[in-house]
Amino acid sequence: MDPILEMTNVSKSYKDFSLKNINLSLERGCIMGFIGPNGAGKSTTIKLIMNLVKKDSGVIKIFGLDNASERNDLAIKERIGFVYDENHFYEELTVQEMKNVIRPFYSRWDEGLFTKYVKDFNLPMHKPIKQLSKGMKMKFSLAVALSHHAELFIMDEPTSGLDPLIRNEFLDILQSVIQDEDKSVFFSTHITSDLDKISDFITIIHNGEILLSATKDELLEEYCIVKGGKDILKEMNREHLIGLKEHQFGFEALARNKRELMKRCGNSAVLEKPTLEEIMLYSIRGETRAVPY
Amino acid sequence: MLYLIKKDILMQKKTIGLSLFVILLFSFTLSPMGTAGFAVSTLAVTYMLMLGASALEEKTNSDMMLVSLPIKKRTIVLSKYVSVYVYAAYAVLANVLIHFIADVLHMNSFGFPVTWQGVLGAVVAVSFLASVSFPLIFKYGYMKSRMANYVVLFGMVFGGTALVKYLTRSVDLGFLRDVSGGGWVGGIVPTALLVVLSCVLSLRFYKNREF
Repeated sequence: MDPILEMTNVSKSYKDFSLKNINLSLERGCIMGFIGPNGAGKSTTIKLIMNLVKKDSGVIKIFGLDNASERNDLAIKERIGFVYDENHFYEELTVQEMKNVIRPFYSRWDEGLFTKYVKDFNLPMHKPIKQLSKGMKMKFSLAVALSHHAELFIMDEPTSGLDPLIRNEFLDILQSVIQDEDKSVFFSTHITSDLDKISDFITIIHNGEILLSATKDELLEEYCIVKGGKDILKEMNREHLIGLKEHQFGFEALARNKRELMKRCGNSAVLEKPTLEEIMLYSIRGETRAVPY
Repeated sequence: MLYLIKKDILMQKKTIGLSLFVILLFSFTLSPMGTAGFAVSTLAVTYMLMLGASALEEKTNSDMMLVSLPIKKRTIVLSKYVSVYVYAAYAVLANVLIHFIADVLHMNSFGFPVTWQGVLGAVVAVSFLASVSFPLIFKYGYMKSRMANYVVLFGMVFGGTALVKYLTRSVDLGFLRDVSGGGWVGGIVPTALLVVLSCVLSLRFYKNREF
């Protein structure tokens, strides 16, 4: 089966920033966490997927359809649910009025489902959007995204600025959505702890380049944080160490091939299981020395 | 398209209330101008609502949401042009109503005489203004094109009034009064062509715009 989202050699240049040869693939039934620091190119990638900016080169296929073709544009957007990091709804309208503006454009709009989410999220239907809190605006955005039987959810830092309680609630909802194995989520964030809980795939982007893209389990199994004295560092191949940090007593770095390292170092080095945040931080720090995945 | 126009009206509930006050004010202050005053009143209110919608959209960068929805960019652009005539119809209707009430109450110095010439003049003026403003808004956004749009508005109100006065004195514009034939053609056809050209330009700009 075709991936639900596939980007091949996609590039986009601005005066002071470039997205270079982005390649990624998202399968059906998966959540991909798209992580990177601010300004790494996450939003630009999402804008390219949503056709909000024009790519310079490459191909983006969504549901197997080329998103650059005007003919496919509507068919693709019918099947996408989006949540952006900021509110783009008309602030003067009430939740009800805004929903009524959006509803006619989706042929598969499910009013019953929307009403259910409104109840679940405690959304005040007759309140102007400008009077909603950031969390409420996000929930409204999510309710809209979930109410037209979308197959792909594109989320651009939806949890940034939300308090931990609402963030957690938001992630729970996403997780329940993905119970349907035909649906996928592309979730961009710089809060890596969000992804520990829900993601299947992790893609790290930095300075407009994909540093690595793999399943979360693969990353957590294959990578490790290695710490040791200077004598061990001399024996090791520095090429295999990512984001190497040397200090007075020794070193620490991220390394791939945990098993091989365990064999080679034995008890002379400490190997620790990394968190996603550590994988991101070390990868970014050692960007130039990172082993290509 | 209807939903997009409805949305523009809904989000300007307060501005529409304010526009009624503006129409009343103009009915009093511009009434000595007669038909020209009616055209200026209609133009000003239409322009106020037209730019008001664009300003509110820019405030939350709502284009990003609209373009992410399954809506053709052509529909978004066309709805803006159609909405201008909806605003103009509202302004004309409000003026007609005020004129009628003033008539009933024998307040002769209040309101404008609403004539076909006046309506035609207002439609031409509104079309011209929209035709110049929209391509700028679709290319640069409301904020960046705001200054240029104000220059066009004031140029048109003051320059246009002066031009009409001059032409009325020196050229026979009798054909414009002939609403059953040449007047309509002379006024509507070039305006319609201008609007079509402007639409094409706006659509081109909007399709190439990045959000």
